[in-house]
Amino acid sequence: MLHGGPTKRTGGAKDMTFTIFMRKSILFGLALVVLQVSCHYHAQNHSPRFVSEPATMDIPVRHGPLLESELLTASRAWAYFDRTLFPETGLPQGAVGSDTVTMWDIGSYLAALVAAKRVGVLDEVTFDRRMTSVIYWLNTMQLNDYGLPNKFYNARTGEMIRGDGQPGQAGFSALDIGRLLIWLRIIRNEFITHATPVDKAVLRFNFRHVLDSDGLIHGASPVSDGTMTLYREGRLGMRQYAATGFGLWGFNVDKSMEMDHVSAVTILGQWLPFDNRPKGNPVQLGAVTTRTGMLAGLEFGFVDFRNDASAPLSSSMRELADAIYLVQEARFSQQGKLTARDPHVMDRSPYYLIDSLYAQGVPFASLDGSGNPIPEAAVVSTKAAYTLWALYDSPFTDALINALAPIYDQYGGWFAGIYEEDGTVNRAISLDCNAIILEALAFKATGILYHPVERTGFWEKTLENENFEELGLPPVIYQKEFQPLLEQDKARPTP
Amino acid sequence: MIKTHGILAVLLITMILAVNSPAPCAPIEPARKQIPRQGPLTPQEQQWAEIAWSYFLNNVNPETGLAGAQPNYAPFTMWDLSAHIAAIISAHQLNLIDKKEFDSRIRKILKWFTSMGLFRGDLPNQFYSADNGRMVDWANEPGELGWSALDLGRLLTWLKILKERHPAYGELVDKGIMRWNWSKLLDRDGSMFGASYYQRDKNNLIHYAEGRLGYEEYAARGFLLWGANTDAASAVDPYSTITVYGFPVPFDAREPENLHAPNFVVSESYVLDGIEHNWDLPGDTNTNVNTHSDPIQAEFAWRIYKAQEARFLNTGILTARTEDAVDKPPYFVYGTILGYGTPWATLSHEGKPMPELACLNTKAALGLWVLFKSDYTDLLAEAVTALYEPEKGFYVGRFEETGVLNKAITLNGNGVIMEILLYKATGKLLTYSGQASHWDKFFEQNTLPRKALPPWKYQPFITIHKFDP
Repeated sequence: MLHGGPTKRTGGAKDMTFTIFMRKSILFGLALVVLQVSCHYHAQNHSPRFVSEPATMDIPVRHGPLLESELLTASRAWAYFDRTLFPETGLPQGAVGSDTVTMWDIGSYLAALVAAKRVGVLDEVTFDRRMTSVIYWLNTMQLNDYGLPNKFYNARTGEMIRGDGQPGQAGFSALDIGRLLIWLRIIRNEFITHATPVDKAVLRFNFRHVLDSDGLIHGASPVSDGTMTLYREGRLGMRQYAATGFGLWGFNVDKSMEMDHVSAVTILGQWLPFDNRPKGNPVQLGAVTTRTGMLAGLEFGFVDFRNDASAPLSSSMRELADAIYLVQEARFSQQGKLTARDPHVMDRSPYYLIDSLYAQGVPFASLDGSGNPIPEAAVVSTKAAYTLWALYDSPFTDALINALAPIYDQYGGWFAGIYEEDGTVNRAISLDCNAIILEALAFKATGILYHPVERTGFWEKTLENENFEELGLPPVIYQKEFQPLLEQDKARPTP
Repeated sequence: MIKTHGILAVLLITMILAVNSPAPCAPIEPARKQIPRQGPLTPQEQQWAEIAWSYFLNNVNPETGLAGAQPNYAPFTMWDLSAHIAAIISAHQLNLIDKKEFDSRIRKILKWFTSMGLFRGDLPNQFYSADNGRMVDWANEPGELGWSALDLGRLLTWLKILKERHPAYGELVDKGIMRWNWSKLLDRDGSMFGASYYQRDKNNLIHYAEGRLGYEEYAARGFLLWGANTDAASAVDPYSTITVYGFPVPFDAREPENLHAPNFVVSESYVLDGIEHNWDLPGDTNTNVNTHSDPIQAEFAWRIYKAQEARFLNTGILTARTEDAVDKPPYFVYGTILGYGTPWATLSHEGKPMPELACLNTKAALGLWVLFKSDYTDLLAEAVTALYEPEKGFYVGRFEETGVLNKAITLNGNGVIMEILLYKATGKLLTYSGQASHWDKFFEQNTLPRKALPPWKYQPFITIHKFDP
């Protein structure tokens, strides 16, 4: 077991707010290293230790050519995007039956395109056409009054919509935009033919409200009188993940990358960090779900690829992911309950559910968007299962995938999951779910999804020669002017 | 065990360093000299050839053996016919078709070529229809328009390549060209003349010196190959330069006399001169692709490449400019390096600026790719080689401004891509068999005075009056 080994890594300690984190980060610093080499050095020695002994962090990631069955899984996931595409706009539905898409979904769609191409279920011509049309849409979409992508769009018409589906504005989400920026960066670095159009799309955005001078990310949400309010968006895991997107485009996101407001609980004997802030207004539940720790694993291998990034931040993302894995595995090994939790769509009211490992003080809470518990609706989530499967090659994740193997729709796409309560299938089919499945498979086939090769292109050259003061570009000149929000920490009661 | 751990530790440290160092940049080194890409085609390049050839699998009329300039557009020019011949020769050499199919495709074209209707019985018309081989206008309506010396120049190059590579077809080729009346084509100074009906008035045929720097020198090579004097056309003077990103880009300094002689600077003329003639003088049997007996053309081509590379390095915009079709009005634009003195102008034939139609052009990108081996052309090839429609051929390109595909597919574009690949596989395309042809032997004894043939006997007495209302 690596936990007993001597360590020399202490560099990360000063960034950690809580001592428990400090201790762990030292240990997990090594775990990061194991991830890098495990596929080569541990694959053969790995013996099933399911139930008999607790999993340790030398669980390797999955790596290798896709099996026939996995390729089939990939084509079934890709079928979602054939099924739901609107040729007029080049956008797919956010979920089967729902025309609403968010920037998170668009980011996922881009991820699905890239992943499907990498695993070989999408030919280069279709890839190119689809990529061209979605990037064209990004270059021509309406932006909201903040000069940013609106929170919701109608995929059929390509227009901005409000939360209720009517034309109008709904603010913006820095988390969604962050994911979009990550994938746009991946695309512009890897596919030279799309690089300039991608850069042009990002050059339309106004960054003055989504980031502040410290590098915290903000969202905007409508309030009752019809105006918008800016708020600090993002909780542990998601904030760091989304901020990476801005960081990759040259913004300072140091404050967002900090692991602050973290407490930890012990669930089923496993340590789990969580965000200890109150849910606030608009509501942010801060639920610990699979994706909060693991998207950073699939896409970045838990490495912080910003140019001046410090390693400790990365290792704490890795810790978070490992804890999320261990708690779910513990629930399976101790209680026999298959567990893979993520926010997901549902085939019945309330249609969207946040299935968590821990939220609002309750382990394994299932909450609707406002935080009301709906425990009977908990689901073994397909996308969470594939995420776990890719990052942790273990009998637990094998069991998850086996259980979920039959739940695809013959018309295209994977169902969202299986209800824990009665084992029936949650027949909702979403864009994000199928995109994440493709990401996980591409991770197995080709390794981490972000390729750390930066290309100097239209973005850099334009910002070298031109300033766009209104948009806050280039960040080196203008980000220090971005207004920070008032310091809220002093005013709020300690939990 | 300890040893293993030691090795592991070293590995771990290396890997930590590897992953935590700043994201590496992929630097694009500017090219320092012109190095052509040469060598057998890779499987991927062979696939490009197949994609380009698919145009000719789908768009050749089985009756006439001719192909329209675009799918569902039957008219084609002599420039297009040259690309068609180039594609057939390339397909044969690249093992996409066997000798038998090559023969049948070429013979159909030559059969038509030796019996085609000529404008006023003199010279090939500007357009023919692939449906029936008759003279048409651009709308595929029967009619005569005039001739283009530039198109004929390129055709002469390809007929020469055909007959030198495959002497069996030499006699047919020669007989076809002997049908042409050369008396209004080149004057005693060696200027090339095109002709058009002014406003389609049949009583009003205007003659004009056709071609400006680039196209003019390239087309002149074709005439020179058949024994004409092209001194005036081949001379680069008068030219001037405009410095674009530090590179003096040459352009024709003459006033544009009419719409038939725009002085646009594009890649295609220099690329074609490079791959077909290796920037060598006609008659030069040198086959070394690294030496050029017309070095000024090689130098101009180099500057045209460097200006485009520099634009990318300075702006991040992938640039490979040439004239080509567009999938929307006006259906044809000149994407220039210099157009009427403006760098990177995109202009209609009438000279109207259409910046929104600027394209990263597929054939130009691959042309630069094959002639100028560099980091930048690696990127160009990567950027354009997915721009095709399976079973139909390569698209013209991608619009610079919007990133949308320019979905026009052209005969010429796909033919040029095939000859680019043939150049990579075999080097300079114009090689000499060393055999005396029917043309040579015939004109040793005979003359065709009414057609002003052979040119070396009659051209010194030709004066062509420009007529421009």
